[in-house]
Amino acid sequence: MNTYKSSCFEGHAICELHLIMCPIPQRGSHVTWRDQYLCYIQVLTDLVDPATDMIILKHAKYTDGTSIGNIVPLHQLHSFISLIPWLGDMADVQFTKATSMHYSQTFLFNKYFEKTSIMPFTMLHIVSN
Amino acid sequence: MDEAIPHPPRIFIAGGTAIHLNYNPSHTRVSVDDVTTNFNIPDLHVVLSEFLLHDARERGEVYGVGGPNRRPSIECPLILPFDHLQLWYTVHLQETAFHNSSITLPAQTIHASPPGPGWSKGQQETVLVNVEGGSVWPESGLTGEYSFMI
Repeated sequence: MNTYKSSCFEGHAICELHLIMCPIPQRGSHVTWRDQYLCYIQVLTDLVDPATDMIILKHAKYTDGTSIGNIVPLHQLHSFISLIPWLGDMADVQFTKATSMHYSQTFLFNKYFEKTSIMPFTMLHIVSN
Repeated sequence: MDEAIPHPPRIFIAGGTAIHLNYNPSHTRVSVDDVTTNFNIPDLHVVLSEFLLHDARERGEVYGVGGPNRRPSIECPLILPFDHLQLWYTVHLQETAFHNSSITLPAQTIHASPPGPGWSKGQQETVLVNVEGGSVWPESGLTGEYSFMI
């Protein structure tokens, strides 16, 4: 299994959260897994545009083009990340405020959204380069 | 056990982040098949069974994200030890300030909900997920040169 890690956020990955759940064990069954909350997430890969120094994100995909999804325990969530859809030269006409994140293929990381906890991650990128 | 106290606890702390789910789930009992359809996650069954296999082997590990290069087959799903799920459409995360851990930052609400009125494609918000044991920022510090080819 490949482990996707962000190149800009030490030991972390940027993911889209799709589902928060807790399985209900069947009556009388001896469940062999730890009782915990689980999430279904889709992974985003990031790279830095050298010209603008902005972090650009895209969905990680299987070879057949579908997005890579996975299960992680809820306790591995760290914080909210603000992304901005990359509209390109001309915005797609089907974008609305409710669907632009769904239809977009490329996103920009909004590093001005929250400076006290996320900025140190991005500073790490600057230091290591 | 007292019925009033939910298990697992709805509020807990992990890696410097406080995680809070509402006392009452958004849905108390939904079948895995219905969730697959409502949330449009065709590989839910497969990734859940892969997670359980992995969990049985390596308890307590921090789980990576990603997968094989080829999409897992959804033709013959494995049997899960459960049929129904409780669902939450929101989770609240709260951290302390990076430079002063005595300052608690405002809680952030993150949505993960299926298509509904006003949200024709549902809501899927973006989060930072810890995928490596021992990398609890900021304690992990600047641990060496870090580069990763994508």
